[in-house]
Amino acid sequence: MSKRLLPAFLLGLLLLGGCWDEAQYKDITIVPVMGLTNGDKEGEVKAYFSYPTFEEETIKYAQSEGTGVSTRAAREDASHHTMEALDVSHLEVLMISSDMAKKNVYPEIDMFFRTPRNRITSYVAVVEGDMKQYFNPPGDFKSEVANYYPELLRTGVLYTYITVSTMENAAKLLFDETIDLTLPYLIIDENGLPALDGIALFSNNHFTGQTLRKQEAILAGMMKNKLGKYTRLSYEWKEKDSPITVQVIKVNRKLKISDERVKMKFDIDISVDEFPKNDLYKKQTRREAEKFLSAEIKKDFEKVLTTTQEAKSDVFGVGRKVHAFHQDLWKKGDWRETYSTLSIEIDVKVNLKRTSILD
Amino acid sequence: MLTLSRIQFFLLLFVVQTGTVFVSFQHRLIIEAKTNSWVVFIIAGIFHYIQILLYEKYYERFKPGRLVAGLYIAYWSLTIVTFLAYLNYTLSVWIFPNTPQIVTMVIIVGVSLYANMTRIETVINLPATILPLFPIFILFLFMAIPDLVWTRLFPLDLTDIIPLLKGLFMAQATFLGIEFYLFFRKYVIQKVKGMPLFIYQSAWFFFFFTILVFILLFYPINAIDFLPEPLLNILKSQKVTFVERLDLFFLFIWVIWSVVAITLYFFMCVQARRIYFNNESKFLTILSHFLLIIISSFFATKDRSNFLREIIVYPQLLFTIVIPLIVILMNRRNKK
Amino acid sequence: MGNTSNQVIDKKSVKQLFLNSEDFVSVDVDWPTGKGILCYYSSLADVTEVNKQITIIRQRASEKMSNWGKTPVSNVLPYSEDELVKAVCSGQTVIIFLDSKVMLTISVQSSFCRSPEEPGNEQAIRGTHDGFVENTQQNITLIRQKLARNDLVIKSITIGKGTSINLTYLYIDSIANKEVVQLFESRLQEIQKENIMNSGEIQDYFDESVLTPFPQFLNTERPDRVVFNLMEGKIANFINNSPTALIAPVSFFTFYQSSDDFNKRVMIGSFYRLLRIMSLVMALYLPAFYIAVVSFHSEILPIEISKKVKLAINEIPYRPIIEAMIMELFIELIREASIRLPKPIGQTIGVVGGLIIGDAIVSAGLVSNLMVIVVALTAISSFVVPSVEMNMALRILRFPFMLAAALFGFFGMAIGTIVLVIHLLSLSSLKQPYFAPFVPLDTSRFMDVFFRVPYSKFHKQQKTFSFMKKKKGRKS
Repeated sequence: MSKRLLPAFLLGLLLLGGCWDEAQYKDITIVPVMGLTNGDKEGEVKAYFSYPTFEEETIKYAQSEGTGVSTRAAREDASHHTMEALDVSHLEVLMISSDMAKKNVYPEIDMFFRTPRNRITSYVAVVEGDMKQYFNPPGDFKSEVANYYPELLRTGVLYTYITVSTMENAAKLLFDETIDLTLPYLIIDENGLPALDGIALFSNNHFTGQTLRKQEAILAGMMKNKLGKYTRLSYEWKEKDSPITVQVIKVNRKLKISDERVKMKFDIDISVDEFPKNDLYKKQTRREAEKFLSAEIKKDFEKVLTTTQEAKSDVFGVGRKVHAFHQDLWKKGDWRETYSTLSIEIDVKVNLKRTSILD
Repeated sequence: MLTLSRIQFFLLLFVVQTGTVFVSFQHRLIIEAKTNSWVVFIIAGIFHYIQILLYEKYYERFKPGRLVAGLYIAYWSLTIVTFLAYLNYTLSVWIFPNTPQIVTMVIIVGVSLYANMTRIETVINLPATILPLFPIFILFLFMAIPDLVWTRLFPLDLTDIIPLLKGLFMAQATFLGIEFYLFFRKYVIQKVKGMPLFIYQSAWFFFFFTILVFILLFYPINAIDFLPEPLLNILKSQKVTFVERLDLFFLFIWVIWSVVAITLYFFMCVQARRIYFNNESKFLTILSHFLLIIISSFFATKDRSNFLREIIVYPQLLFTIVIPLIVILMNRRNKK
Repeated sequence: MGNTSNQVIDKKSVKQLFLNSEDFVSVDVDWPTGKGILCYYSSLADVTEVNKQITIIRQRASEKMSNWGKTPVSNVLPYSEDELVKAVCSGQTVIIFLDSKVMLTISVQSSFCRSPEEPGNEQAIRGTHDGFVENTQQNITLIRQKLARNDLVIKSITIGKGTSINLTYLYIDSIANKEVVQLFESRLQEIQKENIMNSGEIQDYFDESVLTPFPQFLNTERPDRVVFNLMEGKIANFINNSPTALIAPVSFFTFYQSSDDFNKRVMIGSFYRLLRIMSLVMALYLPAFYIAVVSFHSEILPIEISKKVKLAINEIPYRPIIEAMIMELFIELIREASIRLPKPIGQTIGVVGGLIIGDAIVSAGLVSNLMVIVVALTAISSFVVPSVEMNMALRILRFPFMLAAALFGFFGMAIGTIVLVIHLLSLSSLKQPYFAPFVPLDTSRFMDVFFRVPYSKFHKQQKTFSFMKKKKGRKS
């Protein structure tokens, strides 16, 4: 009896409308880029979505927006006027407006971070000004929003313009008492096009409003010892009357903490990428270059450090070591306050390892 | 009579012990003992070794009667219910939010029923087949190494003894299933004492310890509160080129692992029935599977599965320490 | 036999016994010891050779040699009707001596058999190019030539009532396990009374579990494969008039060895062996994986591929499982059709089916082009297995996997895998574990499954099942 029923049962399964948790890929619209900003009313979230649509065997791109009391509610709202349900499990970039980031940002990220279906390797970035114009840039924007931001941030990481800032990383650092978060900072530049400006400094769990721009951001990456594949610095070498561009190969950071005094020692291996004067073949010049660069980088590092101290944002993770081994200092009070008043000494030693072909 | 080789025996023990707890025990241990939990676990590891050494010394005297065997069957059934409820709850959270839990339950228990209806050798050899999953899992885990922050091991604060003891109590979850040793040690035909036992202890210790340390180093302590299965989240954050969402694959490695563990618990019940009650009825096997589905379905909610997982430690202490002690002592007196 | 004494034997009654068949010949002959009747099937006996032998034997008889009837080709038996029928039907020529009630059998059959060509479904690039034929004697010759050792045991047993099927089995005494041989022989005893026509039926009687897609005998028509397996301690058996040798006990991985491997260089042989194991995984999982991804876990796709996939499947009306079933059915149809048709037409069907319909079905929007790729890849992978039976097993097995994937995604596949593993573990071939050397774990032969280990490194006799050790986990 049961053996006769089995084939009928299997056939029934085949013809069945599908299983409970089936989510047919053709019925879902994937959203690679999403933007979050404060809604018009208090406590409301406004979300923008950019996503590809597939019709007549071509890919087009569309946008949608929605508002709600939470990120998820905003998405539901947006789904009311999209053809298929929006699915953020493919999210590549989440953009958060600077206004929103100035409050605690974790509640907005939580939904992405803890929903099992979502990927947590997507980028998070903070944008300046009105979110809407990042989806419809006022300038002559050639590429598609849904492709542009992921590529832009990927390149940024590759060239150390920003350090890795995935959802997972951001959520983790927001929890972490001993280090502060930095996120990529996007602006609309003078041509009306979205561009990567540097990094936004967070203190505890909110955006401080302070940012590090361009080369400062690269230097901050070096100080964190989180280098991308290529890290280039350029300086105007006045004595020699020539610009010099170097590529950083390796940074070795040593942190010494004793009696509320912190010493950061950097050993930086570099190679020279550009130096038109062409006298690096002389040992003398190489030593001079090392000396010059050490001084310059030290100066810049100090500037960056001062900015972060002003912002009360311990992005370099000084607190990690303090928390682990110097509990007396750690327990002195709120760590961010302590950090901002801490006297930190910087020591930089540049080693010129290669001169590329620019002998 | 049943005979086991050394490798088979240790593999069985390993799967029974790791089974379903290896994704869940860290969460509660770390919440209790914070950064000290790795020290706590080292202590737990020493306890485990002592316990297993004592078992090795006295296993021959462990001759349970029908009453005790019956009690153990009841205890294993409770363990199965706990595991099943937890496994199903986790599955429903991670992948099957809309599927009725009874369906996944029936599937999992169905696998166990199928295995237990075939030859005994099938179940005995089953752990060997999931062995290849182990290096894959470790490889996935080791991909997280660049994200580890070693300063998170500190500061240690061993002055306050209460959280340490609580942590130690939580670490007991990793001892679950150790009574398997007492029951099946006598069927092993090769030498176990000494080096082989030490190797097993090391494998057990390093498996749990590595996972624990990875979680400690990967997440700030206060993030653990938010993540009931931190191990799954670690794997989720790994990005590989060919496929996103590595955790999904890992999740299924864990599912397979757990299903095999549950099968082994059922196997222990069936074998205990066979050895101590001379009962090989297939009908009872089917009935017990069926009953446990019904009971576990009742417990597969957040509250109830948590409740079971919290209380399981008490019968565990009873059945791994107190009862063996009584049985061994009684047996000793009888001899005299 | 009791009824022969009171019955008159003459030419007619003998002819009657063979129902006056046109090709049955019975003539009276004179013999130095008395009168006799010569009878044979003209269609089976080699008449000229028989004449020569008769002359020789008659000579021996007239010289009054004590055992004049015993020569390499002839024998003397007491007369009985059963024996007579048996001898004549097997192509022997019989002379019945009426006075002494004995019969002389001369076995000089005229044999027509083809030359030992390479079997069409088991070709090798390098290595021997001979194959078994429909004559057991000649097949054994082929094996003996390759195995010059005296401990190659060849035994033969007649089974069946109406049909006289002759089953010949071979093993190497010093390597084969005594228990296994005994088990094999006792099984043979059991089926001796059954009515068996071909080797497939014998397999059914020998299989420990009939309800499984996995073959528990290795079928081969290649002598070198038989020799290789004999050397690993297995038993090979032939049925007369069949070119197929059945080999048992086998393990799952026996089916993945090809004689080609051993003629290749170590690295190349290993590569292809690995490839074959990978093809096993592909043949089983690929369609199921695809179905699971597009209907459950689309989030695992990297965004670039994801867009392509979405583009391909967006306007397909059916759910992936139906799509896959259509394609699988289509491939099976092409395969079945091209086997039945003569070779030149078969190829045309392949081209028409594969290219034209495949292209049309995509542009008609019934099936996505990704599904065509997936199904085609799967079909190719399943044909990589060097055994037809295992190939069939894999093709059948991927349907349950597809169904499981369509119902529960990866979870269904994971559960399917465990069930499959449990099934494989519960199987046995002549009571030897089917999933060896994984289970029971034998690390020394573990590598051999995935790689072609250099011959110069073999230190001990390779056996598929290590019989030296006491088997583990077995009820004793």
